[in-house]
Amino acid sequence: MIQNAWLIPVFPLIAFIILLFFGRYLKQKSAYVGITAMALSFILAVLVLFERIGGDTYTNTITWLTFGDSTISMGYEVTALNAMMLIVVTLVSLVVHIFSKEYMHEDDRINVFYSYLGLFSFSMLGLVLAPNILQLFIFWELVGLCSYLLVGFWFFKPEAAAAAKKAFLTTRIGDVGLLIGLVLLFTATGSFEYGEVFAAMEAGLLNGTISEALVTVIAICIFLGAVGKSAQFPLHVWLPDAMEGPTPVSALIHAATMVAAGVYLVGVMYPVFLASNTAMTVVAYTGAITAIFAATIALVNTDIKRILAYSTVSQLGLMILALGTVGYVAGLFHLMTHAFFKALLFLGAGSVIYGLHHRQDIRKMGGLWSRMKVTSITFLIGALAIAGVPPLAGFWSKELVLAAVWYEGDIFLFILAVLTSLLTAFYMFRLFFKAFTGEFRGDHEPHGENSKLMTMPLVVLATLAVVAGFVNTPFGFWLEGFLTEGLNVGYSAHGDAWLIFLSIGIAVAGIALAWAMYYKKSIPEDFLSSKFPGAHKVLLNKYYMDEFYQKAFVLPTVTIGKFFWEVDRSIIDGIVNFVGRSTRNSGRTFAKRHDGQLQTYGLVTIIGGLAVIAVAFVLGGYFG
Amino acid sequence: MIDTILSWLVFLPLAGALLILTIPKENKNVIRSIAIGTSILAFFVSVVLWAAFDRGHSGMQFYQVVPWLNLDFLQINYEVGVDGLSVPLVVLTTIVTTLALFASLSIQHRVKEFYVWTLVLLTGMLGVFVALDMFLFFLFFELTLIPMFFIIGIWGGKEREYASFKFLVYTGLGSAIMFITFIAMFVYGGTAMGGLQNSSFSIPQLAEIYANTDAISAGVRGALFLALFIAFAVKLPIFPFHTWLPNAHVEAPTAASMILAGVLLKMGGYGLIRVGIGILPDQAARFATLIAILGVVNIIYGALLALVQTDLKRLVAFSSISHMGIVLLGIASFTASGIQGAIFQLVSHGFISALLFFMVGALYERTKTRTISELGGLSKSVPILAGFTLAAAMASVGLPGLSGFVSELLAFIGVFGADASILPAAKLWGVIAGIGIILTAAYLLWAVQRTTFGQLNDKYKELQDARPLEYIPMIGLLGFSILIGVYPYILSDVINITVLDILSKIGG
Amino acid sequence: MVHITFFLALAAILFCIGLYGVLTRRHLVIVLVCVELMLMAVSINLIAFSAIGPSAGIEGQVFTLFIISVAAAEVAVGLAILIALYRNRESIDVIKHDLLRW
Repeated sequence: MIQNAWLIPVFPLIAFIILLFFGRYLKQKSAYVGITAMALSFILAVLVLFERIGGDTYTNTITWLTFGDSTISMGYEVTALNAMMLIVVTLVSLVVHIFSKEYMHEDDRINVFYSYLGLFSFSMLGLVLAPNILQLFIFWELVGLCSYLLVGFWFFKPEAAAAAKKAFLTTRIGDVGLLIGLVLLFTATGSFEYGEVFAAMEAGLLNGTISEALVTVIAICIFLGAVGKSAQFPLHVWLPDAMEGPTPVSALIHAATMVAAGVYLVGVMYPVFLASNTAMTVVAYTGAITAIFAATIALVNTDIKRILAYSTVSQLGLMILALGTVGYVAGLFHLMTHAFFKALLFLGAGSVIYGLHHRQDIRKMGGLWSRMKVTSITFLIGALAIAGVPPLAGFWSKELVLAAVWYEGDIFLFILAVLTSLLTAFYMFRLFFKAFTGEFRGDHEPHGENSKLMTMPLVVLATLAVVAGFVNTPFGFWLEGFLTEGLNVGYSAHGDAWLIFLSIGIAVAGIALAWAMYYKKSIPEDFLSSKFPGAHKVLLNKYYMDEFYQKAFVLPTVTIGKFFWEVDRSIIDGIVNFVGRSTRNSGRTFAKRHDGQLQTYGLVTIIGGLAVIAVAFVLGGYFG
Repeated sequence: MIDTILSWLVFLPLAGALLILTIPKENKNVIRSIAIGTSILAFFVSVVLWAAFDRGHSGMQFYQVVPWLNLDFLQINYEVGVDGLSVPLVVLTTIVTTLALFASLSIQHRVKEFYVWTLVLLTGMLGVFVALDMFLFFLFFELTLIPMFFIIGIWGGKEREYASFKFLVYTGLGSAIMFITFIAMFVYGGTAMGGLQNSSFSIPQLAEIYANTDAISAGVRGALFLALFIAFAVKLPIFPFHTWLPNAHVEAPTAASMILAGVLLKMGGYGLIRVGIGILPDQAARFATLIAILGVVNIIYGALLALVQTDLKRLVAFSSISHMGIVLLGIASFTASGIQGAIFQLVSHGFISALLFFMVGALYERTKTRTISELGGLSKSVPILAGFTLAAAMASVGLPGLSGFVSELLAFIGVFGADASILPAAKLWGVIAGIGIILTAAYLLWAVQRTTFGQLNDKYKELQDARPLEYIPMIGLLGFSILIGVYPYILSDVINITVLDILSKIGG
Repeated sequence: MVHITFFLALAAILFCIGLYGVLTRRHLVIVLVCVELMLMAVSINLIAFSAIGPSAGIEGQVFTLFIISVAAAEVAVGLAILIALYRNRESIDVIKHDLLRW
């Protein structure tokens, strides 16, 4: 079965092609095409995982490009890491496909939506199966395209169109870094294949043909790609705006799969990072800063999807931080659990938004607990999971992340990580209490719980958010054993007892604070905004990052462009036109002398003839 | 038959043009069918050439030489042949021209002349790519000029006369420099070999002469190369010789824009590699830094200017300038991947820019405007055209899976792997070119956002989406771009040996 | 024996008068007459050289005969053109005929 792993991405590709050509005749039935394809992929992914657990890494490639003596090949590979990712991607994608059937049924472009979803699933699975970093990059860009298409799905909304462009462009900046990084890697090692690259790099480092500085540059360039895709500081600005896309898309792409690809990238290229201490430090600090940075913004935001988006950015920061502190398993484990509970939270938010006729402001919600029971309970499970309450999935992975940071020894990073966890618990329950408890403050009463088609996916994901953590607990490190077999990725820390209690304590403290503020109201809600209006304003404006980029990069570029356009027209083309015009004008000037008067012509001819004779005589020496 | 396939291929369109001349001009549909039939036939011949081309064989294939103008001191032959550099471009030419003819079906005015000129143009372009004699090369090079002059001047937009004259005079000036340089190369070859009768206009023979003599000083060689470089720079075009291009593109009819961007620009790049590097490889390597800097300038300058354009077609024209920078950068690296990247870019940009120009033309035909700010929301009224526009833009951005990515990748591998003794500071140029890639994404996405996304103008509610015949150029061009993007081996397979051949000369 | 200088001077004077007339007179008939004058000046030169030139011979006289016959033909053609022109444009003023203008 494992040799047929290439079929996993092909099913959604087929769905994409069918919907591309026949979608407009299928309309609502398009959903079935997409769901069937994803279901097949999921089943196959499960089979492949089971085979991989008992077996070995499987690789199959064909020649893709030759130049000089070099050959680049493409194919597919099933390793432990991507077998796990296959499950995550196919499962979340399948769930989202099912959820969207109901969520999108009012849209008459539902066929287009499902075709995009198919293309995305294909690209994401292709990314996961890639046997070399170039192929990963190819699919990496394709998922970016899908993200662009899906964020801009409601293209007639100017905000959506702008958000789509912003998402593509911002990630593109990182992608160019990644491209340069992998080209440098290729020129240094002569290959794109993971195994060959790592072997050649190790050999090169040993015999001195590859300097550590070069490895650092390569690692940081590659990391730039992850920064863009996983919305790390300072390229995080696109992800909150990307919430303009349909909510199932946010759940699939901007929570569970594509944004996690950056973390995955660091994971697969881990030996390169391990070879450079500087790069690891950069990775760790970027992750930590992103985590705390996004968490603080999430404290004050009022849009349900944007809070979740900032939460995603923050959690991705934690994963990156874990990887940067040699927590290979911690980062990837958190990636997996996060995929489940964040997809759950997003779909829960989608369910709420659908019930409230597309209203997203949490100030206009409240009291949904009694009105949308399943959604509320599953959302609560998701919130508990992300807050890190045992024994939910988030607890186990977050505890591992904290352990990794602690054992790395940088106390500053550890404090940031702890603070982020605290804030995470707080803002998630702020959201929960404001939206689901108290009185309903909106104008449209929701019509009760949504249909089974929408709640079933929530239940599935909620179950996973509960149990997914059990694959790697202090009582059994099954996942760790699976992921690290045959890999030399350093040690992996397991938390001491005090760390576990600290972790629980943080979660409880955050939840308790939110409870006091937004449920019990024993602390006034406007505590922050009244006591620290300046800080509140900065947070509300997301640290003015968008404004900064606009002023620092966009405007100067456009100004330079305008300046050059002026130069091009007036100077460069001016010279061209001047040459042309002066030729023509001089022609005109001389042409004026040709007035058609034969006698003038004759006079000029004679004068000219006499002049020639005179010159000939003078130069010929006839006059002595 | 297969031995003379190149001559058949080159003169087939000319025969078609002559045939059209015998048809009364009222029979528009007959004329169109003959023109398209001829170009399709030429396409099939080029496919046969593609298939019959021996990938494992370096040097010229389907070589044919016939004495033409022979005096005691001057040997000019009709000499044709192809290698891995020219075969892809020959196929590109027939494809783009055929599809451009499909795109020109809406032309109603002076139909007969239009198709005659286009077929003559096709002969000229094919001739350039197969000619091995510099005189013949020049002849075909000039032969492309006249038809394009008339096509822009008669079927163009508002300022067509200015644009066509600028095109003719500017590129004609380039040709004049080229011609003088050719003669100078011939004469210097003669002085080195002890008499003009021993020199040659044949590119391979002249390359031999220049490679094996010390009688021509480095200064002379350098001057010759720079002169050639300027001559081809006008055509490619390279900053600061680019200003004819936006005018010509904006005024030219859709089909002419497609051919102009798709094939004519490639003649500059082809000439630079074939004649410049072919005969003076050492000088080309000597000026690698200059070429790289101009390449980077082209990339960034073209992108910055495209960013501020208000006219969609002019934006695409500047994007062409930007993309031609990749060709220069690839060449400047003097590595196998870099030069292959340059050739890939020639081919890939041929498809992509033709598609972009076709889309702009199709949108213009419906909305009667090319001003970006007046458009918007077209995804709603013409979703299929908008979809293809987006696909073309993405191809131009260099999205993997489409051909542009492969050429950029190869060029980057080339630049970052360049030999520091040939191209110092290569990595710096690579990084700056990387910024250009970001800018490319910026201007194309910005254009897409403002034309096909956003609020739909009420004026454009009732536009007709793609007509059946419009699918042919759209699917054809996009299809070839995807083909090369998904499986570039089919192209690299043909090019590789020739590239190694070129490099072996530089390595010396 | 008269010195050749006198013949040459006469011819030069005649030539210059003719040239002046050709370049300045507006009446086409006068212009034609002046052209004849210039031809005659040349003829005088030729005859003078053929009679007393450094290499005297018959050639100069032959040329002169040629010139006279050509001049006669020329006047015939010229007058014919002149009349045709007058019929067409109702003027034989040189200044009014500027068809050669750029």
